[in-house]
Amino acid sequence: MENKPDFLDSLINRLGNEQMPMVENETEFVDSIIDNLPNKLPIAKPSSNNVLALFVVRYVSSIAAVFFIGLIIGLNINTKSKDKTVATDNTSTEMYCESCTPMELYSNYVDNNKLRQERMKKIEQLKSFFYENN
Amino acid sequence: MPNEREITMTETTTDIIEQCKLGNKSAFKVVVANYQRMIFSLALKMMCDEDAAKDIVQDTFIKVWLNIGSYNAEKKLSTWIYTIASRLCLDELKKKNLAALPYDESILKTYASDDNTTHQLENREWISIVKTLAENLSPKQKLVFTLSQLEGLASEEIEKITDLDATQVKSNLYVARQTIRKHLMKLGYGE
Repeated sequence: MENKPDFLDSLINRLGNEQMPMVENETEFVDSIIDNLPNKLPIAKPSSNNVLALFVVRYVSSIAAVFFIGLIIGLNINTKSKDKTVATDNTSTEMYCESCTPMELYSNYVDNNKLRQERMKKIEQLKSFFYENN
Repeated sequence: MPNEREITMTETTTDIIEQCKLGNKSAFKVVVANYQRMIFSLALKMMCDEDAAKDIVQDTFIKVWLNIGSYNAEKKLSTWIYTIASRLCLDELKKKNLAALPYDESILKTYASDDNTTHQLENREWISIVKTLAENLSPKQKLVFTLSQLEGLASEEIEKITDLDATQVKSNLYVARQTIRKHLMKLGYGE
């Protein structure tokens, strides 16, 4: 029996010997491809130093920022939650405040000073009254 | 500013690629001139349309230009360019339903009956013959068939280009050949 060659195989063989299809004007085609290239440099991959710098800038700085924001918020809450500490002692009417601002402390001082002066005046009056009557 | 020094054909591929990575269009022109015919051949057989094939070639080289910085020299440059072109062809084929396009069987008939081996096929004849052969193939089968049977690439290279394993390449090619055979039989060839 005659072994007939497969039509598809012989067709493929023949096509394989054909010249490649090509564009009409190759030089012009190549030029047009180059002309249409985007006019920018290919993006270079960052070097290992740049990677470290990027890591520091992106992550370490954001962690630091979050830490400081947290610190500020925490301090603020702590300050607000603290009641003005007023301590009195039995021997004096002076009041002092640990968490007051310098201005508040100064006005307290002025107030206390006035009280002391009034008290001293009263003592002086009592003294003079006592001496006059004796 | 890109280094635009003149590139000659005597420079090695590695030198040319290094120049391309620096943004040298003159070096890239050497790459385009060397590989455009190979890509146009694949694209024409895949798309079966000359203008669409030209667009694929253009888009392929734009992608090559933009991504040359990430090109791994361990892979052959031609394989890498083929990979990009193949993906673009598959994407385009998925968008268009080219299987539904009409084909002219008469060119295959004339070619098959003509024993004149000096006759060279024109682009429109290539288109018509491939359209007739690949009428019922899926885009993937068409790609494997074209790379293997019409472009003459080795199975290992097709695996790298298509990202298919050896078995998948073999089965796609087998199914493609069987489908084409059946179709040709229906048209009266190959009894």
